[in-house]
Parts: sequence; C-alpha cells; structure tokens
Amino acid sequence: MFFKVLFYLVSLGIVGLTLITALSPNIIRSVFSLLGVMIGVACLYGIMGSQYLAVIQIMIYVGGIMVLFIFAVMFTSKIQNVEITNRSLGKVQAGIISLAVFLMLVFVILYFPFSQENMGEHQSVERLGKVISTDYLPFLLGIGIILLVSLVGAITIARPKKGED
Amino acid sequence: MEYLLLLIPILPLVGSMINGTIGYFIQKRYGGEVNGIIATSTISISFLIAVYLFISLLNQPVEDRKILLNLYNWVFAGSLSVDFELIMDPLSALMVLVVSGVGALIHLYSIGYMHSDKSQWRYFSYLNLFAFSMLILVMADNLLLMFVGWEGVGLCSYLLIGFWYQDIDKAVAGMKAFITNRVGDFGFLIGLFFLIAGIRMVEGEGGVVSLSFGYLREISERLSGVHFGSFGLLTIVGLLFFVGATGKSAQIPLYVWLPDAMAGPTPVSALIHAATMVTAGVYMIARLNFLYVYSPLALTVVAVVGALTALYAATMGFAQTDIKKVLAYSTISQLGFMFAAVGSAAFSSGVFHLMTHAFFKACLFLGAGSVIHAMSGEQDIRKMGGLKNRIPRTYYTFLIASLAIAGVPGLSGFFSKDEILYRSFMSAYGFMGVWGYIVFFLLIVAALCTAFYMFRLVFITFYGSEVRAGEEVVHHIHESPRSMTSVLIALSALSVIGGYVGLPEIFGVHSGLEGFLSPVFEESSRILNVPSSHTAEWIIMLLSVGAAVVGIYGAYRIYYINGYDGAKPIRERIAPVHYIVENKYFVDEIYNLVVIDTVKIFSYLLSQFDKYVIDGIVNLAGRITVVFADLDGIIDKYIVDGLVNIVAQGIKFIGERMRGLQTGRIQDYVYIMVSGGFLGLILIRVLIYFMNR
Amino acid sequence: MEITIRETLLIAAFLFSSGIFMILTRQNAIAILMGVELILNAVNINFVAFDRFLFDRVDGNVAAIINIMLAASEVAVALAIVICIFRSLKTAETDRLDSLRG
Repeated sequence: MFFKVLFYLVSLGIVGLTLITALSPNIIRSVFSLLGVMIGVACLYGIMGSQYLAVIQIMIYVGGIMVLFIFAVMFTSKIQNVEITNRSLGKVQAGIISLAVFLMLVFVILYFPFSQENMGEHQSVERLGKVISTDYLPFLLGIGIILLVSLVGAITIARPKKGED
Repeated sequence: MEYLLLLIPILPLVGSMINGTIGYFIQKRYGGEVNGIIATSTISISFLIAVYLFISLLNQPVEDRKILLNLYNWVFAGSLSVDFELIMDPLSALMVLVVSGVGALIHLYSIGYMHSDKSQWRYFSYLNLFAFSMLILVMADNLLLMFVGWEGVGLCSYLLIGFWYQDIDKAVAGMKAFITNRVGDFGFLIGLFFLIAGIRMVEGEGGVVSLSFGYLREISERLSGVHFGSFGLLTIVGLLFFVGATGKSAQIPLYVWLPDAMAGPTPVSALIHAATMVTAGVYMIARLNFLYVYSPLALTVVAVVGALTALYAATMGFAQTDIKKVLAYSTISQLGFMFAAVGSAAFSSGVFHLMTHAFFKACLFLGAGSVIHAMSGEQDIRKMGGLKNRIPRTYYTFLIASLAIAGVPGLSGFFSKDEILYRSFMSAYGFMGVWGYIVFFLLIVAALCTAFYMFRLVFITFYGSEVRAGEEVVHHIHESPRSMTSVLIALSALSVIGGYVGLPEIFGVHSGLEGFLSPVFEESSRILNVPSSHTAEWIIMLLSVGAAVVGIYGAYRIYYINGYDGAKPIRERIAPVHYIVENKYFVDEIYNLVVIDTVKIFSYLLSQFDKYVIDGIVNLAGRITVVFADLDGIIDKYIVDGLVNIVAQGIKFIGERMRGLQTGRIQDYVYIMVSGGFLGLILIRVLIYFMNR
Repeated sequence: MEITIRETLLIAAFLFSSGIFMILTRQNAIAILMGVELILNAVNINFVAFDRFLFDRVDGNVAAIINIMLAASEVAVALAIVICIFRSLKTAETDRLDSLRG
C-alpha cells in the first residue's frame, strides 16, 4: 500500500518533470528538469526492488551524464529563450507522431495478457553480481573497452586544433 | 547429200563472221583485197554447190524434183510447230543460182571497186551476211524461216546503204530504207497472223499448225473456204502479204526508199537493189501461188499496182539526171512488170523476168559504177558525154544491157517482157476481166517509156564528142580494172543468152524454164484456167517490138541528133509538167507532210506529255515525299524528342520536389524514420489480424 | 494493492513518447540529446519492470546496467561533437546543420 502510493507520487513527479523537459524553451530549465527525471527514475528502480540499479542510476546518470549536459549547455548556448520548434517541423506534426506512438504503446500495454506469476521480488545484488560476471562477462568487459574508447574519442574530438585557441 | 543444202547459206555466213571479227586485222596486214577474196570465195563455192544440186535435180523425174533438209524442230509453241527446214525445188534452185551466181560476180567486182576504202572488211562482212540472209529466204521451206531471211536482208540493206555513215545523208537514207521496209513488214506480219488463225480454224482444236509450204499447199483448198465477214481469208492474207512485198520490192506506195538507197556503194545497188533483195516480194508471191490462185481479187490488185508502178516509175526516168537514180527508177518499173506478171497468175513469167532483169540490171548498175569510177566520182549525166571511145568496154556492155532492158528482140529482156505482156492480156479472158486490159495497156506504155529513158541515158552519158566535165576529171578518165570489166562482160553475155531458156511456144518449142518450174506452178495455173491464144501472142509480140523501136527512136531523135540537151525546147514547152516529174511528183514531200510530220507532232505531244505530266507526277511525288519528310522531321523533333524531353523533365521535376526531403536536418530524417516505423508496425499488426481470420 | 506491470510500462511509454517529441521538435542539439536520454531511460524502466513482474531473473537489470554505461559513453562522444560544431559554427542550432541538404 505504501509502495503504491509512493509509486504514484514518484510517477506523477516524473510525468511533470518530463513535460517541463520537453516543452520548456529555456534550455537550462530543460536540463535541470531532466535531472529531476533521472532522480525520479532512480526512485522507481528502488520501489521495484533494484536498489543497486537505483544507485548506479544516480551515480552515473545524475552525477555524470547530467553534469556533462550542464557543462555542455554552459559552453554552447546563449542562455536566452530560443524557440523550441525548428522551421520545418512544427509542434503539431511532432505532437501527432508522438501521440500516435504513445497511444500505440498504451494499446499494447493494456491489451497484452501479462501473466504475473513469477514475480521477482528479491533482486539481490548477489544475484546480479553472479549473473553479470558469469553469463554476461563478455558484455562487462566490452563495456569497459567501449568506455575507454569513447573517452579517448571524446577527448580527441573536443581537443582544440593546432594553432587554434 | 541433203546437207549440201545447209552449206549453201552457211558458207557466206562463215565468211561474214570471219570478216566481221578479224577482218579489220586482215585488212590492215594484208590489204582489203584479201577480205574481198574471202567473201567472194564463200559465195562462189555456194554457187558451185548450187549448180551441182541443180544438175542432180534435173536428173530426177519431174515429180520428184525436190530435196528437203530438216535440221531441227525450231519453234514448238502450243499448236504451232515450225522446223528449220531447207528445200531445193525448181523454184528455189533457180533463185539460189541467180543469187549466188550474180552475187559472186558482184563480190568480185567489189574487190576492184572498193579497193581504196578504209572499211573493206566491214563491207565484205555485210555483203556476205546479206548473201546468207537472201539464201535463207529463198531456201526456206516454211513461211517463218522465210520471214527470218526477209528481215535479214532488210537489215543488211540498211547496213549497206548507210555504209558510209559518216555522211549524215547516207545514214538517213539507210534509215529511210529500213523504216519504210518495216511498215511493209508490219502488213506482212498481220497477214501471217490471219493465216495462222485461218489454219487453226481449218484444223480444229487439236491440230498442229505448220507453216511449211508443202503443208500450206495441201490445205490451200480448205483455206479458201474460210471467210472473215464477207472477205475470204486468202484474199486478206494475200493483200497483206503484198503490202509487205511493196515495202521490200519498192512498189507503190512504199517505193520511196529505193532512189535514196543509191547512197550506198554501187555494187550494193547492183546486188541488193536490182538483182536480189527487191525480188524477194516477187519470189514470195510466186512461192505462195497456191494461196493466191484462190483469190482472184488479190491477184488483180497485185497486177494493177504492179502495172501502175511500172508506168509511174518509168516516167520518172525521163527527168532524172543522176545516173544511178535513173537506174533505180528503172528497177522499180521493172519490178512492177514482175508483179504484174505474178498478179496475172503468170508465175513462171514473173520469175523468168526476175532472172533476166537480174542479169541486165546488175550489168547496168555495175557499168554505171564503172562510169562513176572513170569520172572520179561524178554521177550527174549532164557532166558526162563522149565516153563511148574513152571507156569502150564499159560502153559496150552497158549498151548491150540497155538493149536487153528495152526489149529488143534476140536478147533476154525481150523474151521475158513479151511473155508478161501476153499473159497479162490473156488474163482479161481469165479471171481479171477489164482489169487485164488496163494492166496490159499500162505495161505497153511502160515498155515504150523504158526503151526511151534507157537510151536517153545511153546517149547523154556516152555520146557526144566532148566530155562535159572539168580538165582534171577528163584527164583522169580511164577504163576500169580487169576485175570489174570482166564481170561486166560476163553479165552482158548473160543478158544476151539468158532468155533462150524461156522461148515461147509459138516458136515451136516448149519453154524450158516453164517446164522446169512446172512442178511448182502447174497445179495453180490449172485452177485459174487462163486461156491461151497463138494469135494474140504474135500480135502482142509485134506490139512490144514496136514499142521498143518507137522508144529508142524517140530518144535518138531528141538526144542524139540534138545533143545532150536536146530536150530543152520540149522541157520549156511543158515546163510545169517537167517540174513535177523532175521532182518525183513530190511524193517524198507529201509523205513527209502527211506521215512523218504527223508522227513528229504525235511524238512531240508525247514528249510534252512526258515532260509535264509524267515528270510532273514524278516531281510531285518527290515533293510530297519531301513534305512528308519535313513532317516526319517535325514529328521527330517535337513529338518524339518531346516525349523524351517530357520524361527527362518529369524526372527532374520529381527529383527537385523530392530534393526537399533531403533537408540535411537530422530531425527531419528522424521524423520520417519514426513515422515509417510506426506505420510499419501498424501494417504488420493489420496483416497478422487478417492472416488469422 | 500491488503495483501492476501495466502502470510501470505506462510510465515508460510516456517517457518514450516525450523523448520522441523532444527529438523531433527541439532545435538545440543538446536538447535533442536529452530526448535520447529520456528514451534510454524509458527502455531501462521497461527492462527492470519485466524483470520484476514477469520473470524471476536479474537479466533485465544487467541489461539496464549495460544500457546506462552505453548511454554514458555515447553522451560523452556526442557532446564532444556538439562542442566541436559550436566552435566552428558558433551556434548549436540544428537548423543550421544542413550541409547534407540536397
């Protein structure tokens, strides 16, 4: 009961913040509300029993990625009210297609016969660790390599050119 | 032995081929005389063979005097079957002897006469070719083969008349001969078609039509029953064949080519236009006697036309001043006599006169050639005279021949002409009625005229003390070489003795010639049943002698006593008449106007038609094609190219519109991707839904 | 009452749609990348939801973890690119980034 209420509260928060993210003309506001979305999602993970994932979410997404976003925004945008829509695609068309997609998904979700027999309530860290290091070891290692590569790549791309300021 | 028959015409043909192909080189290397020798030898050998065959014929009994040689079946077309068949019967034997004998003499004469000519090889080739054609003509055993020879001699006549073709007048004379001849041949052909039609009617559907003389003789009686409308077949055929004869043998109305034919070398005139080719018409009628006897009408026409021609042509001799032209008209006149003879059903008489005429006319022509040769080419008798003692051999032979043609008793011409006069008179009591009298009268007067103009010629040409030509010419006068004078002598001798083969019955002997020819003519004569009368024969003989005497005396009075221009006072008195006669009654001019100008107008009209109408149509077609081509060009340019351009532009248009999709903005692409994906999913769902139904 | 899977998935769907909306609409390059982040998060929620409510396994969590890592590296590179663009064009408006046009 408690979790349900909590769930609904968190959900509400997520929805609201998402709306702000999508519709706000102010880019900073947008970034920060996205930050809030991330936190909300982390809470959601916690409610659903994946505490470890929630922490990971906070650490990486909020602490890393969103900070990166903020830095990027600081570097590049003029902090003023720029129109959110571009010239060729208006709000309407985008709205239609998004709505269409949303409705389709809703339709599927509501009418799919989910069978809730096996509920994994306990998703302990041990289980996670065991699986990730045996069944999915290659992925784990791969991820490491990818991170390294992207690190190098990002630095290379963003490096100031010779003779340039 | 029959193959000897083939040899007779083939030898001259071979000679003609030799001279025609390598003759030029022979002449260049060895001289023209060799060409002449080649030509003369071929025809002389033919003559000898003919003599041999003639003798062997005489050794046969009268009914059997016939040698046939059938070489092969020449024409085989439907029901018409014609063979290449040669015959030697009394008539053809006689003709062959005359043609090859006189022909050989003339070939010999030509060697001397043409000795300075550049193209002797051509001359002798043509001459031999003529001999070949003429021999085929007289030796053919059917009408078609005879017609081949008929055409062949016409061709050679053209070739030889126009021998010196570099002179346009001479070439034109050759053409005139050929074309006039052709007109006659056209009539002949129509007659031939009628004959074939008639034979088919008689023979019925399945029968074979042959044109051989033996066959025709057999069915002649049946043919006489065939009629086209109110005209008998044989009358039509006879008249049409006679049209051909008038062309070939220079009778009214197709004689006009003969005087102009004097443009050819004199030996040619002697051979072709005196002795042989022109007699083809007479021979033809004689050969077809069994057809003609069934048509008294045709015979009458032949006789009347012949007699008219005889007198008409004789009058021309009064005013002509070219020695050869006088002889030309004389030939036409004598041919008229021959036709009058055969027209009176006196076939053997006609052939007899043919033979004697060949002798003395050839002699006269060759003598004229000799005179011309002596006078360095002069042919106008007003510029001659005084030649009697200067070229004696020529003079004496000429004189003898003139006496013969005038009908002086004792010489050949007298016998043959007399027979014609008698027979034509008697035909009045046979089938010709009053026409017979008319014919006889015309002939008597013509005989008188003949004597007159011939001796006019003799007196003007040879008599007088002075030669009326320039110094140069007179100085050059000389007798002709042996090769020429020997021929003259031979011919004049024949002119004398040639008549004794045909002595009339009143002298108590049977005419040898008539007897000889009887197998050919006997039957026909019996059909027509012309009576005979010794009394009439004597009277007529006297009359003909009288005519000859009067004629000669008249010429003597005018031209000997009064000199060469003794006719001057007479001429002045009848100036208009003389003018007409001198200009040959303006017949040539009339023909020119009536016939030739008409043809010219017609051909001009046709050429204009061709130029404007036909060429116009062609040009129009051309222009229409151009219009269509332009149209095609336009179509191609605008429609075809247009289509191509439209396609290209359409694609360009679509491309440009499509370009708008490539905005370069990622968001637009994302939009498309999302929409596409979304729609795809919907589609799959729908498909699944329908598949599960 | 329990939390149903449907509700969770609905949230995820909402996030997904919003992410699409953001991608299609915003003309700031960084905003677009934020949209991508939203989508990735929606996916992660899905993974976790399936794990929690449908199977008694942790594979979904693993997928979510890997997803987060990938998102991190991808954002790093993407933002580096954006900075680069900003350096040359002095603007981050996607409207201007149309050299692929035509």
